[in-house]
Amino acid sequence: MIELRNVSFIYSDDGPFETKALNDISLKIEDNGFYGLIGHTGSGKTTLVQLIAGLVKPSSGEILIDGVNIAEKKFKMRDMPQRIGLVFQYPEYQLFEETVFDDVAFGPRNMGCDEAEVRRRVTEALQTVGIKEKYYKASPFELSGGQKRRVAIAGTISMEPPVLILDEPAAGLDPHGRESILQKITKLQKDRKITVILVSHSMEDIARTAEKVIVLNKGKLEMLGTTREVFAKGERLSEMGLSIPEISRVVLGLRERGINIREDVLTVDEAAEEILKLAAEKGLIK
Amino acid sequence: MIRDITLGQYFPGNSVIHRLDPRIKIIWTFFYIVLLFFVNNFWGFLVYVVFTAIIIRLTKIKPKLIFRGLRPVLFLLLFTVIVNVFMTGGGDVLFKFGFLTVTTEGLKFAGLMAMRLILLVTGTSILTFTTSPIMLTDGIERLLSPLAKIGVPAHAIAMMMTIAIRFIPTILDETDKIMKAQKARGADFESGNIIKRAKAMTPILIPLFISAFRRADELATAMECRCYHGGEGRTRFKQLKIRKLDIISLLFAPLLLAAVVATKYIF
Ligand SMILES: Nc1ncnc2c1ncn2[C@@H]1O[C@H](COP(=O)(O)OP(=O)(O)OP(=O)(O)O)[C@@H](O)[C@H]1O
Ligand SMILES: [Mg+2]
Repeated sequence: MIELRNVSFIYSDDGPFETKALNDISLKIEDNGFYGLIGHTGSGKTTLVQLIAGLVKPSSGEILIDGVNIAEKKFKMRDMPQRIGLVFQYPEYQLFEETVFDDVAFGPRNMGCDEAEVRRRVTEALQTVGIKEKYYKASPFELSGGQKRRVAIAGTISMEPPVLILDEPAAGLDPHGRESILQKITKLQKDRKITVILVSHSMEDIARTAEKVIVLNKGKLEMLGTTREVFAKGERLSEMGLSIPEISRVVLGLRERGINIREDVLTVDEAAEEILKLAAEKGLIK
Repeated sequence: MIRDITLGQYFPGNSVIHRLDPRIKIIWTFFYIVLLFFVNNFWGFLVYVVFTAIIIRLTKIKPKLIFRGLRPVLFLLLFTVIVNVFMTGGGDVLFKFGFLTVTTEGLKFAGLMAMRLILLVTGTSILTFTTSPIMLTDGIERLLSPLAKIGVPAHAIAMMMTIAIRFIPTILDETDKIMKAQKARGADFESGNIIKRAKAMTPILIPLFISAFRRADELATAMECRCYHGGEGRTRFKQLKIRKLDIISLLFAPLLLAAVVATKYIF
């Protein structure tokens, strides 16, 4: 379990451009959960996930990972109780090896796995993200943007972290690529029973994948609840410059027009089901 | 660590120093540096320190920020001091450990060198801290323009310099990001011997180079799209003009010179 207690983070202490990126955040992230992290641009999402991954230390507060406070000055990354895998925004810019295989193997090799184990992990990770074997020996720089993204994500998955954080993994991809990456992450979370934190600007993506949603607003924790609870508060979300999934808006619109449909509908499939049910009740279809 | 490098950063403001004409500031900086190399006694440095302190005061930038710029050169500073302490002969011997001797001359010389370095970095940072990159290029270009007549590509040089300066913070940001990303993949930059550490730099340098090239390429395209075609026939939105403030500031130059020269003869 990951627990944050009164965590604050200030960029560039005492500088002229000082920003309080995070302000007194306390929250708990349970094991095996699928969390969505949303917030307006600049609300501190990236900062928060970097703190959790132990890459930066908070200006104040505690970050407990399985009870160990990683915010302490003397705490070193290598003593991390369990690895937290963080996939950065635009991770394709960190590719550097000669071949796709070697790049994905970078993490496991750093962890000290032997070659057989490295091979197993890399193959599995690349299969998970859907990179075909013929690309294993290709240079990562010859791939398309979407393929690079997948390889980069595989580079983190291959470390088999019990907690996987993805900072906008689908940003800038075509709809098909988006869909397929999200599906793969969801499947991975279910199969391996890991904790996933997904940062995204797309409410649809969050609605479709996350069980719980964390909402940040100007560096403060605004809400933390189940996806249905959070998206039921459409008004507050729009005050923060966020929205609810489009389909939820459609359903709300229907309700305003006197159609008695369930209000906490999150996905298109759910909405279709509800609408068909209503239509059947009214005898419009059989 | 990376974030301590403030080189090339500009802190917007409206102080007297900010308002000076960039050409004047560049000339002043040159003068400051050249004169600094003639200073060789304690009182001369005192004059310089006081002068620099007044300028820092006038910029209204927090001194802490200006001194932060010194952190990256700390190693160089330490190295200079140590080498000078041990390598300079003459004067009275203070200590002797084996073949290393510390003399009064050595200490004095090391102190002077350290002061010189500190003042050098501080003085030049004041220029970039208070002058926006665009003003800086304009200044450089105008100062180089007499040389354009003998075929020196003044505009191109100035443009290249600004772009280089402008991108220092961007590249540092990027380095920071890539370092974090590789750290998240278990890269270790802190342990091991020098060779191991140098090797550990590959995962940072390669993505950095690739993105620098990509950025350069994109920038070139963007500039062309906005019809940039070199300096010829290009007019300026902001015209540089020497004003009263600039003339007044120049009057202080002989004063500084006189003070420094005076310390040589009086003390
Ligand atoms: N390296 C940095 N130096 C200084 N300030 C920063 C830095 N990175 C982020 N900030 C500031 O911290 C705040 C939070 O930034 P952060 O990147 O965490 O936002 P975000 O929620 O991830 O935004 P986005 O959705 O655009 O990715 C912003 O106000 C930003 O300007
Ligand atoms: Mg972000």
